[in-house]
Amino acid sequence: MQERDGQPTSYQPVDANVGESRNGTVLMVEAYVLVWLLLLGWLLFMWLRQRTIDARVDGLEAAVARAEARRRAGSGEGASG
Amino acid sequence: MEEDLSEGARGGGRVATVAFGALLAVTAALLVVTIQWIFLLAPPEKTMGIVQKIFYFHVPSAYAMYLGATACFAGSVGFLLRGSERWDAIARAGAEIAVVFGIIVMTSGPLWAAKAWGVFWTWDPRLTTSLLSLLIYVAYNVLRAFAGDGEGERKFAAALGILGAANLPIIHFSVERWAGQHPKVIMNKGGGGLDHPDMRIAFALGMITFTLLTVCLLWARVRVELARSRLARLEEDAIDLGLDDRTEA
Repeated sequence: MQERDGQPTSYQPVDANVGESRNGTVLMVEAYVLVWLLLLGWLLFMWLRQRTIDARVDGLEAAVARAEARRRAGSGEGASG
Repeated sequence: MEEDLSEGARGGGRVATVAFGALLAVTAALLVVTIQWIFLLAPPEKTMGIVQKIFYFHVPSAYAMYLGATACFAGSVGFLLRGSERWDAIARAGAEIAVVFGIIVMTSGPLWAAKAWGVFWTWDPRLTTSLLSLLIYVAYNVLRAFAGDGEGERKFAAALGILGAANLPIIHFSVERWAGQHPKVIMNKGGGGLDHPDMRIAFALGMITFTLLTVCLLWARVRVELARSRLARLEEDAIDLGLDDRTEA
């Protein structure tokens, strides 16, 4: 940034090849944590999806059981009548 | 009928379950050995130091992304040829795996680059083509999540799954064709730039473990997808028969 009378007159890009040196251990730990968080997050997502399917199966099973009970009650009434 | 319903919707047969459990156990054991090898036996790299150890799962993750994308391609071709739900489930599972491992590649790579290059990101050919590939599979998943589950949508997604795979060889050979900053330690002319035997073993273990992990995840995801589509069909049948609890009240 060049200045004239204390005011900026242009913007200069930072040299991309001269970055600040970062702590390699911290970067490596961050990378490992990210890997396992992503994988565990996806597994959790898959488990939630499976749980939704289980709930839908339970609902369907209950509906079948109720229909079966109604059918038996109906045939029982028919036999007694 | 109830037993059939539970079996069908909640998972495959007993043999498949045992095989899946065995595969999962082997993968978990290998994962422990791999992590031990990477951190306790493989020496740090001379110039980069400990941050080079990111390489041992960054490259296997990229390979796992390729495997997921290949599964998506194979599933898409299979679905267009046969039209079966199994192929569609493989394509969908493969695309999700490509996204998950793609995100791992695109986060672990920049963390390594921050130390090695001094910047998190640069528009290097391999980085750019990898990002493009990740975005293609994100688009595939968005399409599957929001465009419905009809025959037309599935065919459109299959076409995207096939076209998306065209970018894979471009990623692979981008380093050769357009140079760039990305290292080519594995693809160099000497047949591998890992100078220490423990480095090579750590890398080989990483590749084997991530391959098995990808197979486990693909298998699990395909089973969930097949269960979901079978359940959807059963629910439609139940509604037709007046059995579904949503129509009973």
